[in-house]
Amino acid sequence: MSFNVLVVDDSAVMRSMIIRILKLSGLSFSEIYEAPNGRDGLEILDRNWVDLALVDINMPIMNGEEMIDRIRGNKDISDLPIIVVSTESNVGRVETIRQKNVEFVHKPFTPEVLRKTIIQLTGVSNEPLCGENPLSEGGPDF
Amino acid sequence: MNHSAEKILYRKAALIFEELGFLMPQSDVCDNFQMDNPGSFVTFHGPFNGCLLISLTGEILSNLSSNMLGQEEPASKQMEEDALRELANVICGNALPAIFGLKEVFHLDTPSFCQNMQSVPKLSEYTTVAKVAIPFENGQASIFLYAESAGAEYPIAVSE
Repeated sequence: MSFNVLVVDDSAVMRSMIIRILKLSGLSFSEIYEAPNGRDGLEILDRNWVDLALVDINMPIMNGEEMIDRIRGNKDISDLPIIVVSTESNVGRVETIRQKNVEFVHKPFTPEVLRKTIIQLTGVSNEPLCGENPLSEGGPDF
Repeated sequence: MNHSAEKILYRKAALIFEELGFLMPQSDVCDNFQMDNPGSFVTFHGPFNGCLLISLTGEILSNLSSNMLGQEEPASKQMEEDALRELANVICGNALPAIFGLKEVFHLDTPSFCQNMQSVPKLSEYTTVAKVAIPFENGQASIFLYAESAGAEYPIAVSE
């Protein structure tokens, strides 16, 4: 199964890092879209079919929580699988975010944690498409 | 200055340099704090207000951004500044709950790049809670945690 992903983070370096991990994950992606804030992320969702969104919380213009609330309130995309990728550690805020039916990956994360979370959330095959999965052996050396 | 807070700040920051920037701290003890180099800072609000500031020397900024981008060649100036802002964001977001407890709610502002510490707004109004210097093969990171007056006496949640 090949699917489209949206990465939303105000840091261009972090978006690039996440996209590189996705490409090396052994999972199959058709399109990888990126946006620097929730507003731009919603515009991409308006124009394109997306199967999975990875969303930061603390962003200017529109933060991740508001973006997720708008997604969940839009019947066309309300069931979009979402992974929050954030530094947030407060137990109350993390629980509030989890109640929006999202998975949570804490920054800093290892490539393998992100890969496992994607597989867990989307149910895509754990099998590498060809050869060995590059994330399974070398730790963070990618 | 609080030594428990400094131990936690050092441990968290060193781990984040490793996991986010693939930069391994050296084991040398370092107490030569550098304040006149490019850095980034993030202000925060919560039980008290404050600021976390990072200043880097040598080739660390170049190494950090290249490693985060997974490329051999140097990153652009814009990407270097972005990498440094993200580093401050992640260190601050991890250090505050580790030092002051997971139940405290801190809201972080968008991080900013600065040419040196003198250009950080209102820095003279803060009290230093903790400062650590982390040596690397090609330079040094100095990290400062500041608080408005109430924060300087705020209880540390984790005893070391």
